[in-house]
Amino acid sequence: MDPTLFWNPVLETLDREKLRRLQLMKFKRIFKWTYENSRFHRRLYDQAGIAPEDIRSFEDIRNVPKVEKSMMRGIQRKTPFPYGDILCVPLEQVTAFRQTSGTTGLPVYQADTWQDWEWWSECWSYILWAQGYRPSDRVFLPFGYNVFVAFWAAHYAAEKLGCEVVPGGVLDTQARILKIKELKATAMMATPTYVLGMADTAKQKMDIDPAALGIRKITCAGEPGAGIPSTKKRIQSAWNARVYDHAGATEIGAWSFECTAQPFGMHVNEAFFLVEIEDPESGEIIEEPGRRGKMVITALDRLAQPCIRFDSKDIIEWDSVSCECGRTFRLIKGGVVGRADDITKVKGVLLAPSAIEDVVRSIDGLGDEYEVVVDRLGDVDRIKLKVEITPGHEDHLKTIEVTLKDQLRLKTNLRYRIEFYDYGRLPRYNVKAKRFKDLRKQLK
Amino acid sequence: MESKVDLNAVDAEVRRIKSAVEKLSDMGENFPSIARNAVRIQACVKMLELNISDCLLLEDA
Repeated sequence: MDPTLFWNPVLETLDREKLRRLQLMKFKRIFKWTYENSRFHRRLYDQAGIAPEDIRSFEDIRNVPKVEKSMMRGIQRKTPFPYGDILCVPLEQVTAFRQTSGTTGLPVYQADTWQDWEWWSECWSYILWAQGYRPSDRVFLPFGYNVFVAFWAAHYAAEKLGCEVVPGGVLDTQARILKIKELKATAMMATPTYVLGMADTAKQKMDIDPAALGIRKITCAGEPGAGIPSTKKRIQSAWNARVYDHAGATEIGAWSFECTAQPFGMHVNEAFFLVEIEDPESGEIIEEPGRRGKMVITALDRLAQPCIRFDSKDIIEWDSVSCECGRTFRLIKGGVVGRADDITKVKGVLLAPSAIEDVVRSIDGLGDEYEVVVDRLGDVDRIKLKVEITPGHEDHLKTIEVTLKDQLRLKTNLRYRIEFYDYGRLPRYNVKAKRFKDLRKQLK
Repeated sequence: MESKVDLNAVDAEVRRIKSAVEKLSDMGENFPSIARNAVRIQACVKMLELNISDCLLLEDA
């Protein structure tokens, strides 16, 4: 095994038994720190009757109460302003503010000290090294540098690796493409939606072939797209680049990554995070591969505003295979397949919007954009799918419709009303897309 | 993977730097350019502890 493939050749190849012991040791440490320093957590744990000396095994960890985003919303914007009494350090030690996107409700604030920020970029360093980023890379970051954590830590990690980082902050999409061309950037990071949108802009508005720009690696985050086979294929083909998936979150950190072996899944960085998968119905912890559940995650080294047994609502499952890259960090199959909030019952059938995306983007002649609208007529759910026809495929509408309906029925067990639109008519998104609209919630 | 690096030697160096930075930090009272740069060095040293020293704690346990 080539040790230069790893950011940390010791931790990333640690045998499983030692890795588990390391996780338990670190969990005890972060739990004690949090119990002793965060008033919010102390209340939570005292109410549950659990103290640091009660944690001796992984079974004991399961007795530690979970933290949900709504609980954090409940205490924030109060004294000490703006984080409330969740912090483990005095406000004077906080050096960075970020907040969640607010997609699911009031944004949650996140405080980091300089050490936490260093930790963020350390976690990202594991990711970028595993995806083949090296000091010779010129990395372009086309995101709005603002209150959302997005690729901020990736920026610092790329610098730590020794890459040359080009911040594409306030530039518009066309200016970003021109800058990539001008500087011959070799790598890029953005949401899958935006990466596809950039390729579309280059082709349609600038007569530039993105595949010829020289980008060879793209790291995607913020949405499941890079883990959806047909979306990954479209991005790879548009840019002639390897596309890597990553999942992280403001309240958690950068916890998982696809490596260059690309085993159709992501490694969990188990040296820095403890991931548990919980059955959403029974609450039982799922250890075996092949069963999907909700992720409960602990960041083992985050100090100012800890993340202990955070109920992330991400839907994941363990993979049964080990990766040929040599890492002993477990794989989650297909990455994050959805969010518990998004997976909904339509006509009594469980529907994950990512399954629809996989179908739409696997069909030649359909654009990258789509929209799903679920509503109810009387007691009957209805589901409508809006898609765009790419220029030159208008004459094949009927064939495309038949294929689309067949594939959707096969992959999601549901029948859809299809609406076709001219290319460019559906909304475009720069950050996280909102393509699934459940109007039944408004009808209640 | 068996590391060719002597982890105990690395850990010893990390401890030495940590101790030196703590001294620097103490000397930085009323001297912001010492104190604040020491905070940054301490954060980097902590990353070395997470990457190397924690592993050695497993052997001690």
